Amino acid sequence: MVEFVLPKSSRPVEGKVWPRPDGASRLKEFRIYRFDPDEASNPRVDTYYVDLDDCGPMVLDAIIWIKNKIDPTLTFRRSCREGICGSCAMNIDGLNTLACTKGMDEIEGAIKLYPLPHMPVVKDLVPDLSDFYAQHAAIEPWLQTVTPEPEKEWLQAPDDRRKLDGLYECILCACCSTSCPSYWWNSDRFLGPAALLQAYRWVVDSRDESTAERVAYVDDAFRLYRCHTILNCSNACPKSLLPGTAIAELKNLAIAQTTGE
Amino acid sequence: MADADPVSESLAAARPLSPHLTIYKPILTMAMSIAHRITGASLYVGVLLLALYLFGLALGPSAFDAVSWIVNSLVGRVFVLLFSWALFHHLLGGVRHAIWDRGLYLDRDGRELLTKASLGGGVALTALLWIASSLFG
Amino acid sequence: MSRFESGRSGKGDAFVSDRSGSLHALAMRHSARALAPLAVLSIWYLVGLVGKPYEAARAEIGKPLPAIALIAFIVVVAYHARLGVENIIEDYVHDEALKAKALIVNKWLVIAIAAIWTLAIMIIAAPR
Repeated sequence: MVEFVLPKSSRPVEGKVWPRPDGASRLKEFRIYRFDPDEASNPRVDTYYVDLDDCGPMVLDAIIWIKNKIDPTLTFRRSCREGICGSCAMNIDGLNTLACTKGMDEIEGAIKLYPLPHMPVVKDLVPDLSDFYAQHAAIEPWLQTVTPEPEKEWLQAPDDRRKLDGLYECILCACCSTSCPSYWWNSDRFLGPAALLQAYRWVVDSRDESTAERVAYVDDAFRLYRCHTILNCSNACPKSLLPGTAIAELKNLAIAQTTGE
Repeated sequence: MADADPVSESLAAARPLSPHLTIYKPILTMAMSIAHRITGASLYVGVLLLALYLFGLALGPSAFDAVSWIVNSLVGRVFVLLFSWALFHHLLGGVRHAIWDRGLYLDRDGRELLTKASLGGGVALTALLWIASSLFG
Repeated sequence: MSRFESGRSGKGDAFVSDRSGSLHALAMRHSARALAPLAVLSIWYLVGLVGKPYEAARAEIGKPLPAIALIAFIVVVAYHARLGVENIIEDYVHDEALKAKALIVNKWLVIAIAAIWTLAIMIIAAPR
């Protein structure tokens, strides 16, 4: 039976309240999920106070400030700080998004930071994304052709190139897949919105010649059809992509292929 | 990059699961999706009860006396009211899914609009049904 | 280390997609389309039963139109509900043995509901 309730050892307990910074006039409270793999204890939620006049406006700026000034053990992934690498994806104020593009002023009251939902936690805000990457690899995200390679490029008309818009821009941040309740309950067999969006990206690429096999691969009760159009994915995407739309198209292609045979 | 060594394996096994239902914001589309499933399951139970009522009605007056509460008692009337609301809610939810299956109204504004329309429409159709039934039924 | 089962054993090998998903999805769409008008018609007759005594209730659904509508309704509902609950079982029940039993119970329960309902209406609508 699926566990709707977290296992006992995963339930966060109330944690430490870290000291407020001296002389700060504008403070923002942060409630942040912590887990230390070196200690055999439950995760906890720590409270921090960030001096808004001493750090940048984004949530990522705040947690970097906390790490520099208050608590160097706070652990999270980050890189580009401009919404293109996907590293800092986490659950902020109940919704999955990138910390570097989420302004602190968008959230009233205390900002709650949790790791991406229903994922194994390596440490603090760092989830284990192995399943996520395996799902991407499973849809074979590379050009597959039978026609011999041309002298120079594989040509593509502008209209065909336009079909890739809204699909190629995915940064694989995992916000969408980890926002999906079906993915929570079935991430061992359901591909999830991100991998399905990329599967559709390759299906719709005019240069790829493996379309039938790609559609056949996803046409499965679990790989594609655990999607019940809940649409948390389209809601979560920090790049404003629409995985729900891509999946709807994939389902129609799969149905057409199955009934056409 | 598989964790083949025993230390990594045991570390991986000890990892807690990050919170999900308890921390995720229950946005409208998500709430309506689970409502669609709950109304569907409720209708399943509802038709079971109605099947028993119809069977009692078919067998004769004394059998009917045993089952008429399903529809005629206070609890029964509330049951039929809720059944009809669940039916319209689930029906309009189905229409919403049919529209989404065609790739329409899947953008932010579109899905909010459809979701609110099916929610309001379900209530409106239920009211319409009961008013009409009391007038013409 | 990933628990995800890709189903791909290697390039060129056949992966096993079960294809049932597309057929289920199509069956859901067709049954839903048929149910839309049937459900609206049926709920009208069902609500009309509220408060009616024995003879009046029998008179209402004993007529040809309500009888046929209600029978058509439950037959399509049985199919649609079976698929819907199968989805719920597949989503939440992962123990293979328990899942198999639940699917069987679901199948026979919808058949029983449809059979009882249809039989009842046929008895009621039968000419005296």
